[in-house]
Amino acid sequence: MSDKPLAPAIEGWHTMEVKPHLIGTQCKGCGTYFFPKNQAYCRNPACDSTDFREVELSRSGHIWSYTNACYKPPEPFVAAEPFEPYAIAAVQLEKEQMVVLGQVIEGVSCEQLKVGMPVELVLEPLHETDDDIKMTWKWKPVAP
Amino acid sequence: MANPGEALRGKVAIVGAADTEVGVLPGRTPMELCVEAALAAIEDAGLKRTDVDGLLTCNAMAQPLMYHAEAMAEYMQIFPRYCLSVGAGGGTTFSVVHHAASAIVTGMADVVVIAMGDSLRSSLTRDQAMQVQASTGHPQFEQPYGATVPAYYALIAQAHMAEYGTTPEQLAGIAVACRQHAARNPAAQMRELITVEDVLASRLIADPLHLLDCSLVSDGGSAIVLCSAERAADLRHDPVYLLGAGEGHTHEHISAAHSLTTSAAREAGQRAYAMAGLQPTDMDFAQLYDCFTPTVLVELEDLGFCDKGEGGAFVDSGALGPGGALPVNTHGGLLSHCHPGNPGSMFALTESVWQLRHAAGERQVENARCGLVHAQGGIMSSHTALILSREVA
Repeated sequence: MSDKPLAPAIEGWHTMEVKPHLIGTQCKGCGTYFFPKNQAYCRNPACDSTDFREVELSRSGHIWSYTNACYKPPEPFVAAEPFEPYAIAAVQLEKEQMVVLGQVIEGVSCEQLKVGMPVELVLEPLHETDDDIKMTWKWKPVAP
Repeated sequence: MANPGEALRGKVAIVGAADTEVGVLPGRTPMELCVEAALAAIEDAGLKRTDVDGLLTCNAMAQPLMYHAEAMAEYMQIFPRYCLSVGAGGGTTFSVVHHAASAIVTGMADVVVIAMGDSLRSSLTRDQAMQVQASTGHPQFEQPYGATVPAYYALIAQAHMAEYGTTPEQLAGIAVACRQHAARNPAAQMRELITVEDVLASRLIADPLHLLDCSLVSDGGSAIVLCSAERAADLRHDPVYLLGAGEGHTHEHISAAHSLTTSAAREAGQRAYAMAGLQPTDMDFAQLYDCFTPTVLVELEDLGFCDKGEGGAFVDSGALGPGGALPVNTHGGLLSHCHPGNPGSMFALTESVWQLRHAAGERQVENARCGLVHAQGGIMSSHTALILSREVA
C-alpha cells in the first residue's frame, strides 16, 4: 500500500479512528438500533415512531456464524489479484440485538473461528484508487 | 390458526404436468422452454389451449421480460382472464400454486396453467451467473463485502454444526441420497452415483459447503395444469388433489433473520398440515428445496419429519434414499436432477404428480398416497409447503 490518504469505502457507515465504530441509528421512541441506518419508519411492530438519532454501535460482539469465500465475488466488490480466499463472519452485537456481517481480518481463516467467539471491529484497506485507499470494517478475533 | 384453509382443501387438482428436457440445452431460449412445457402440460391434461383461462409464470433471469406472463400468453395465443408473473425467487413456484387454487375456488379462472422456464446454464456467462449469485445480498450492506449465495447458506450450515453437532458428512449424505434417486431417473442431469467421500473431496466453495453440496446450474422448463376437483374427475389422468397449502415469510436478508437454524418452513408446514388434517408421518415422500444441502437439513426439522437438531441423525438413518422411511427428492432434486433458477422446484411438483399417479417408473414410491412438497426463496426467506394426495378424504 502507498502513503495515499485513507477514505471510507462507503461514506458515513463507520468512524475512521484506530478503534472504529459502525454508525447506525436508534429509534427515539423504543430504542431499537439499526444498521445500516434506518431514518424513516421504526421496524419494531409495537412502535410507530419516525424519529431516529445517529449513534455509534458497540465495537465488539460474538460470532453468530461464519464461512469463507473461496471464489472471487463479482463487482461491485473489488478483489485483490490474485484472489485470496477470505473469511466472512456474521456477528451479534449484544446491546443492539442485531447481526452485522463483514469480512474477517486478513490472515485469519475459518479454522481459527468458532461460533460464539468474541470479535472486535477494526479497519482494513479494501482497495486502492488513484486518489486514496478505501477502508472498510472487518471483524478481528480477540483473546477471550 | 386464523384460517385453516377449509375453503381450499381438496377443491383443486393438478390434472396436467410436463417437463422439457433438462440439463445443458444450448440454443433453447427460456421462452421456448416455458412454452414447450406449458403446451405439453395442457396436452397431458387432455385439454386445449382454448380451455385455459388462467396463466401464472415467473420471469426468466436469462431473458427478462417486462410483462412475462402476457408474453407467454401471446406466444401461445392464449387469452386468459387471470394472467400474472410472480417473483419470490425459488419460492415462486408453490406460492403461485397456492394463489392459483384460490383463484379457481373464487371463480377468477377455471383452468390455470403454471409454466416456468429458464436457461441459466447456456444463456448466462460465468460473470453474469456470478452477478446473479451476488445480487441476492443487501445492495449496500451485504453485497459489497464479498458474500455470495453459497456463503449465506454456509452461515446456516456452520451455525447448525455449532449448535447441534451436525457434521459435514451428514450434509454430504443429503447430496448422496438425492443422487441415488437421480440415478433411477433417466431425465436427471447428473446420474452417476457419488459417496460421502466424493462430496467431501470436491472443492470447497464456502466452508463447510463443497461443490457437491451445491445445486446444479441448468436449462429447462416445467409446467402444470390446475382445475377444480369436480372438473378433474372427467379428465384423462387420476387427479392429484391439493389438500394443504401454507406459507411463511420472515425476512429478505439473512442478517435480518431471527434464527439461522429455524426457518419459516415451520409455519408453512404447520399451516399446510392443519389445512390437510394430516401429520408429517402421513407423508409417503417429501420433495424439499435443496439449493444447498443445509437447506434440506433445516427443512426436515422445521417440517416436522424429525426433532430440531436431529436432522443429521435422520440423514444417517438412510431415510432419504430410495426405499427409505421418507424418500426425499425422488427425481434427484436441484442437487442432481436440475436447477434452472426460479423454475427449479417445478420439477419437484411434476415429479410428485407422477408419483401420485403411480406413473414414476423405476423410482415409484410404493403405494404413494400423500406427499409434501416445499420450496423456499431468498436465503430461507419465503417458504411454501403443499400437501398433495391422490385421495380427497
